[in-house]
Amino acid sequence: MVEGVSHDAVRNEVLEKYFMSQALRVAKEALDVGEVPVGCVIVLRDVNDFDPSLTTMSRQYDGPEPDDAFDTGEHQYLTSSPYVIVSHGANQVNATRDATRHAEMVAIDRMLTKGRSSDQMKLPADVIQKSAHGKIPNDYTLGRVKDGDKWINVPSCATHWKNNFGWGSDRIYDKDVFSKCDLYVTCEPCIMCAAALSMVGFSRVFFGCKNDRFGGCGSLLHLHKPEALPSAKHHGFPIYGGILEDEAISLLRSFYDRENFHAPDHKRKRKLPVDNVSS
Amino acid sequence: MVTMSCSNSSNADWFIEIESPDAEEVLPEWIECYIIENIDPTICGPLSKDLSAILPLRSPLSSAETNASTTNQFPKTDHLKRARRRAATENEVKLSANNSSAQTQKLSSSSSDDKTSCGNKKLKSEDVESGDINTEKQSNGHNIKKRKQKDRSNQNSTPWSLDVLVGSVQQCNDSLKTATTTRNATSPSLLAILAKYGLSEESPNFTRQSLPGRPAKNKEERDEWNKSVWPTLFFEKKTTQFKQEEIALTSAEIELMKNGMQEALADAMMGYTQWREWKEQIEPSRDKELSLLISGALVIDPQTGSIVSRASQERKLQGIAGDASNHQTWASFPDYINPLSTAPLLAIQGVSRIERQVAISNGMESDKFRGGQYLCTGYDVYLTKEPNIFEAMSLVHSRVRRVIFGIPDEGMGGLGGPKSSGQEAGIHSLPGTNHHYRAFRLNLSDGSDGCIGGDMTRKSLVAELRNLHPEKEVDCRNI
Repeated sequence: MVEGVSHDAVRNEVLEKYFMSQALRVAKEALDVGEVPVGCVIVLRDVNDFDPSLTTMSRQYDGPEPDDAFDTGEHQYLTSSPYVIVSHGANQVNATRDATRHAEMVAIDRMLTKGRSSDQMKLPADVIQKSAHGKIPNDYTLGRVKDGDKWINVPSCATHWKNNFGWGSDRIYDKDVFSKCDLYVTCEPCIMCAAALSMVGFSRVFFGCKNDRFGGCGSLLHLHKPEALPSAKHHGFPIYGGILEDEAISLLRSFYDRENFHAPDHKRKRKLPVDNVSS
Repeated sequence: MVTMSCSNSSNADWFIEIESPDAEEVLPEWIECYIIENIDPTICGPLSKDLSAILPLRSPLSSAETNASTTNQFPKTDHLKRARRRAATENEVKLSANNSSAQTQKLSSSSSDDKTSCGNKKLKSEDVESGDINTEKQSNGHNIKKRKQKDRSNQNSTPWSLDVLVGSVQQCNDSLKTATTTRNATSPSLLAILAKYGLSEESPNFTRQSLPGRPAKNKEERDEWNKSVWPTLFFEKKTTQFKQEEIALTSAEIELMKNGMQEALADAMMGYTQWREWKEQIEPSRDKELSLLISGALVIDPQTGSIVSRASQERKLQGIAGDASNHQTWASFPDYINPLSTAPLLAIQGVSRIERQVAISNGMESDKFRGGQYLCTGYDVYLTKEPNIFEAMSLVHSRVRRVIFGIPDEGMGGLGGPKSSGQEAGIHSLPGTNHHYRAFRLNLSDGSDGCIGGDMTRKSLVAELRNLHPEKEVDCRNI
């Protein structure tokens, strides 16, 4: 929403890269289960905005010392920022047999309905496991039991107060919360998702690579602009592209270099162009 | 009889297709071109080749977008053939008789024949360049071969002449202009080419003529042009006549669409009943003021005419707590808690639910699953209200066949509703996306009335739909 933007449009490169790297982590997990590797995280910018009682909470990091995996930027995020990841999502198109279950839709659905139209709609793991018509490459781990569907903000300290917000914490949000949230998604939102982000009223949207095929934030349409539609109900949102772009592209490339073994035989393409990107 | 009074004479008025604005390219009926008449068969082939190098008839396909500005300035000549063979006029017969006796004595008839076929081959390769429909290419090649044989047999009986198309007047003039300003050694000017074959602009057989400015609309026109105007390439599947016949709705289809709209209305009504149920269930004091606009949506398999999924059905499945088998109370109302759970999305999710059931019960390796439904491919979607861009694009992703809706949404609509936003309106035919579908809207204007069945007329259907979506008050005179 417009107020949110003017109030807090401060860019923080370290945080942006940190959150995008987390979105990439989600995308990689999607690749493991044979989905198009696009991932996103939703970040609540100030937990105090959300729940004033939280101001009494310690802002200090009280867990063990961060290990080598965390650089100083991440450490800073972990210890002092009021930013909290409240949801995350990756494509679930193949698992739900629903072409609209894109990363953004899944992440929003998890916040509002505990994944009623995404996670709760997924095919059982044992069915998915056999889904590839006997053509699963050896390096795919379709049946692997993953806890990636849960989200922990501070992995090194399970009891940290920040871990109380993400998917898996059983917290349900009201639809108004998005005006206080940023979205970090590895690939430019498609037209459907861009319109959806405007409908729910995201404060800011950060993305990695462009989406030449379906992009709704500058590639095919410009739905992030408030004037894109005549209705006053269309607000748009500020976008910031190109964050960790190369990583997002190479991840997508690693998917499209192989064939989509979930598609039925007559629909399966033998060779997909690398830029055939859907988010 | 009731059924008799509901005759289908006014069926055609029921639905209006929403076409993308740039679907029909407006081409002129006739264009002015330069041609060289009665050309020596021995030079026809090489000349055609040289002309094609500087004045191509076909616009390059690969760079269609980047070249848009340059190709648009000239009339399109893609459909015209380079050369025409016609019966020689009396004058030409005399002339050629003189010529052949005077100077071309040494050319044996067989070698001239070879040259002609050589020229034809060049023409064929140019047709290939145009990259049009394969079968047409092949049949062209076929014709040429046949014609060659005919040529041999008819060589002496009917005298004929060859005309060569130089190009459209604008294109030629432009070529002459640029040739004088920038003399490029690698690409010879038009004048140089003409001079090479002993021709010039001043030659008496260098003439100006009106040629068809567009491909023929039907076979009759094509034959007429071939006979008396100029030979053109003809692609039956690209003709407007074929397209119109192809896309025309049959009366059976319209009947199904009428019923589909009525069912979509019923789905929206059911949605409001569900909404009331939920409101009564939660604290009555708080929710009196809660309001929600619910539209109706359903997916129909046009092959069987059966309803595959209804939004209201999926809403119930998602809104009612899983283990409340005894009470069937609403745990939450999907549309209310998630603004993205709108009727069209719920209907899509209903289809995916069925596909998952097939996957679970038959196994995903089973032939039944693998040969079965893939997303919403081939299905038609009926909506009481125009989908917004979010919903319209979700239908693209789901690969639906057609979308039919009732009331337009001028503010947020994704299928032509927001007239002021120009090209951004038609999500169903957006250039660049991997799937397009046909979109229809119910004709809301007053007109001859037809019945759906029972006592539901178009007027009453429209009235009911407007009742459902009152906030989108639309002046039907402007539609």
